[in-house]
Amino acid sequence: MHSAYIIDTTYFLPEILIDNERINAEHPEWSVDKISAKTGIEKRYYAKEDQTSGDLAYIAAEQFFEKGIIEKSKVDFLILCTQSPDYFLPTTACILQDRLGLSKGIGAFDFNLGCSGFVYGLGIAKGLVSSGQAKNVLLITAETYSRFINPNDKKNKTIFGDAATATLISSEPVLGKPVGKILHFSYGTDGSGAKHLIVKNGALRNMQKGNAADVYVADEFYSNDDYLFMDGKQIFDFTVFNVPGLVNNCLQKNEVTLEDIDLYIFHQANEFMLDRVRRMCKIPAEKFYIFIKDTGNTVSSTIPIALNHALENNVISKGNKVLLCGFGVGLSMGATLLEY
Amino acid sequence: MINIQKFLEEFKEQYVDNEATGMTMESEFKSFSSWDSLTAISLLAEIKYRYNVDIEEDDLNRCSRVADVYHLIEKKIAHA
Repeated sequence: MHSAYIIDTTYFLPEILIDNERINAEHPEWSVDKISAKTGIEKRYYAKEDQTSGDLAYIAAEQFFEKGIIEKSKVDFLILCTQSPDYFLPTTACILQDRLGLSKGIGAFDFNLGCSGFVYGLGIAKGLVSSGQAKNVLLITAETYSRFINPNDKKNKTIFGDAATATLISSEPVLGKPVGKILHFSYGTDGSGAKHLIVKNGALRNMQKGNAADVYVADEFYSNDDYLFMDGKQIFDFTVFNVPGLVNNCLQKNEVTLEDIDLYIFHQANEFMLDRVRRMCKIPAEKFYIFIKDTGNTVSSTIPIALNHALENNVISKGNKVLLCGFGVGLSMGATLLEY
Repeated sequence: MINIQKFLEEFKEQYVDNEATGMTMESEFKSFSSWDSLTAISLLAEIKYRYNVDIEEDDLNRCSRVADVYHLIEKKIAHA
């Protein structure tokens, strides 16, 4: 079995800035301070009207290649994690192979996961590399959830932002560069909670779109089946009651203890929930990385964005063990350990 | 019997910036400025975790004092 390493990562945030002042102007009953006090979020970015997830993915990948770590011709597999693809078919990754000018001798496909997606992507990439099917896998996460958010839905508006990231997973480390060896994984799925975080209309189960009405509960926007619906309580409960077990399981598989881990990077959902789940996991605050203030919850991109920042700011050094954990829509979760 | 002191401490922890340090069993818990739907969700998760009791958001919304929530949990435990 070959080892698999995270070589490097880049990310792209689109141009349209949605700060708390703007949300406050749209929803005057909500104060700027109150929005950021709980979520920990001050800014998010939205893709331009004519910009798709495929476009964001393309930019993130081009930025990755500009770093000069790898030539395009050396990439032999492309995986894209998205829930807002350009088309029903073909898979956006095929279009990206052509746009990026990657070899025609590569495999390329999309997979549909949200906040757990990056960890699953690493799992797939490691599988491809360690079984000898690929040597250099480009894993892209790209999401334009902004398209799914109803203009009256102030809660989801404060949380989500658009972004894309590109990460290279290779069979060989790069000399003189801190790379993360991908160790063992733990996964979890509870499809009974699918209805708690969902865009109901527009795909084949309910094709009609455009006729759904806004539903209000106690004068507050609650749902519209054409748009993203999130039952905050259910997602909160799923997270705080299941993530600690998942983390423990991952620690056991890797034969390490909670104390052996130098840094925990969880999906950056919102700061309030992260704080609760951190305490439930008994992780000290100084080992728990938070990077959400200037990006918002960018779904499958939060973990690679946070990882990128932790590396750039020298929070991670050689020999460090970093535990990644994603959880959310599906309901789905996954965790893995990186050794730098 | 739930330990009142511990219960009150757990309740206070749901608020940001130590806002609820002066909270008592008679306090109107929704009157603190950081109280919102997220605080409610977190409080209910804490209750479920500590006391293995499921309380609906609607039932919590009908409570006004901290003591009301305490009695609601006691009642749920007694009927479990």
